[in-house]
Amino acid sequence: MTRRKFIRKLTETCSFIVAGASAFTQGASAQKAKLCKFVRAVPMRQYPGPVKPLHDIFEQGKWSD
Amino acid sequence: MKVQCELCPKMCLIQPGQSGECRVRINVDGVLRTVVYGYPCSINIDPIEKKPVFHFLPGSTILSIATVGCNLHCKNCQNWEISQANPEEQDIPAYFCPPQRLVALTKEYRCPSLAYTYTDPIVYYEYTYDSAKLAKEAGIRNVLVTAAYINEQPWKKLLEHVDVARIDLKAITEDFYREVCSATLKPVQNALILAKAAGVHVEVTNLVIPTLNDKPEEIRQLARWVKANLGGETPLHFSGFYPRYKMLHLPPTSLKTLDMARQIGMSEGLDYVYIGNVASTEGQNTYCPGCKKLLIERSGYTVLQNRLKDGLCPDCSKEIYGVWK
Repeated sequence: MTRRKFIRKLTETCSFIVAGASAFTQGASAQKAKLCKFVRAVPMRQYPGPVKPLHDIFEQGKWSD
Repeated sequence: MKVQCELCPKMCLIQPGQSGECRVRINVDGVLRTVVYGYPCSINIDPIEKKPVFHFLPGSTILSIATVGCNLHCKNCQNWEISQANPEEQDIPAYFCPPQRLVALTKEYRCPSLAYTYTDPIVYYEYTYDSAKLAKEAGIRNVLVTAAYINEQPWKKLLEHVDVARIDLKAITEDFYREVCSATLKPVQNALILAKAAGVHVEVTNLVIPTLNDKPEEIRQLARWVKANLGGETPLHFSGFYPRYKMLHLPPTSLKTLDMARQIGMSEGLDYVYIGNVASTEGQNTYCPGCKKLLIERSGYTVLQNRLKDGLCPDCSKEIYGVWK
């Protein structure tokens, strides 16, 4: 292998590694950007379970505490 | 798109269409939504002594609410039918009661305070927060009954509208929290310290479970922690366990064990140590830490006599920790 060929191959390999690493980093930050963080949640408009009219609340709760 | 709920230390990463561990905070199209806002599954009027809160308006009634769901999964949960339920469950209906209606009901039934209780108000945080804010504006006091497994920032924000925090300190070891509650101890201790520092009236409850957290040394360590970090004036309630949920194999806590816990608490310098969930006379009464005379006599959830005069002992004039009017 001539010196010129060796340098060309070395350059190609390095570019390949740099391109790969860059693609990987971009993918990771894209993944990161997709994660939304919340403390406060937004109320849903509708309850997913059954809803009953309010009963007589003037009785002690059956639950502990 | 995934969302992360940063309300409690679990920091759930929630996939689209899924809920967090609490079952009531879900990812809808990349937005965190609460399904229980304005939909309590229980609304009742209780005596304040049932919470148990003994140093806050004794003998008063308190409008008490809960939604389904909990961020803890305690194997001994006394209210597991609602705390571990999904909102979709057909046998646990909810009532439509947004914050405005809740405050109106509290006034209508002449309750001086409103309790967020039974399950854990942390998981219905937004409902609790908005209701507490409105209630406070209407002159109603807010009482949280909670395991306080919450991150610092939302906790501090909520405490701005809270008058009383009745917090479970379930044990004093990380092992117990991890194995029995699927949680950790440190955030709870931090929340307790923050509540006290925020000027909120704090009472602590410890459920004494045979073989799991009833060793005298463990109880002593817990009492010491309360005294060192929250102050000797902080009421500590030792409650009796009954076999429930996934702990049907353990016996109920004996009166003897609870009495022992109370003695340890008092010997460690705590002024007000109570026992609950069992028939006891002395262990439910409030005595003056100065002259040792009886101040408030209770039987079950009933206050038989209250001798306090403007928050002071009528015999030695010692100021008694609490909110009395």
